Amino acid sequence: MVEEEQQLIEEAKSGNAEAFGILYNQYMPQIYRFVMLRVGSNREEAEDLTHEVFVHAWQNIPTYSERGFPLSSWLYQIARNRIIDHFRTKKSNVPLDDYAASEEVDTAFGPDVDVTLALERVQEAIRKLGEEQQTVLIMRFVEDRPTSEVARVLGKTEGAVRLVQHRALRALRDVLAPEV
Amino acid sequence: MEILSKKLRELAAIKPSAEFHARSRMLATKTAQLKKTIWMYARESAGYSLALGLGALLLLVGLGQFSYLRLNGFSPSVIGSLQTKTLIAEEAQIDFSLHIADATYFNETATIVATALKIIRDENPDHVNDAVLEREIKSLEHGLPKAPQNL
Repeated sequence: MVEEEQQLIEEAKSGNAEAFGILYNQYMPQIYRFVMLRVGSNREEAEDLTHEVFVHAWQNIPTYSERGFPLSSWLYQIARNRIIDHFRTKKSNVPLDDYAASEEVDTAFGPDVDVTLALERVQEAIRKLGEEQQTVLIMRFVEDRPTSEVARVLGKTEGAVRLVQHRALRALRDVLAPEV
Repeated sequence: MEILSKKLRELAAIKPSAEFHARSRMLATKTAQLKKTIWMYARESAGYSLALGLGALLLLVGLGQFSYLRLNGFSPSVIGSLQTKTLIAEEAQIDFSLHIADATYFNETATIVATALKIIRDENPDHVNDAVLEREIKSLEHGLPKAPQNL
């Protein structure tokens, strides 16, 4: 699998769109989830940002160097930076009242209403945490990524990531206190 | 915590729409890739060797500065000169050189001095301390170290 991915990356680096398409199919759903959980339940916003992440990845893949980590860590880094920029731009452009009003609920889950609502609450709770805590929780628990990869994305040591994870879980539990 | 992590795992059910997936993939791969610049190639090929080279250069410059400033405890030249073995060897070498210089001088002057003393003894028989002169002459002729003088 790793060798296959290596081969696809090399081909994508030399401009093979088909090879990049395979990598896109593999990683897009998890990057979309990451973006969706971070920016809110606005599906269009999450789609736009996810698209931007992959356009950036395709344009810059010739400069990508592996250094012992999977391509996903690079994609998460791009996504994270893109989200930070997104919030920065949004903060400077949109008044707070408009911002709150624009957060319409556009569910991304299946038809089960109870489950959907419960998960919406978890999403909302996640978004109340700090930026690093959100990244750690999503990558570690939703995507089941190893600590080393999260550390690479955040530019921290694995020990520091474990600490952030511990604090994030505690904070999330406090936010969701009546439910868990 | 178990319930919490279970709830988080359930969020993996979030999925993009198939329509978005297909459209985004097509549009993304249709954009032009950025071309590599010469600088990118240079950086890639140099890689770690460049980093090591610059690191070594920095170290050399740093050490040079330390010795220039004569910071005790940092300058390698100061630390080198404080090695006791080297100092002892240097001292022995100097001592040995002094002994050789003394021996050479003695060798060159002993005969002349002995002759001069003989002349003094012969020409001045009334010399107050004839015994001392005699002993000096003998010691110089035999190359023996100078005897203590009890005048």
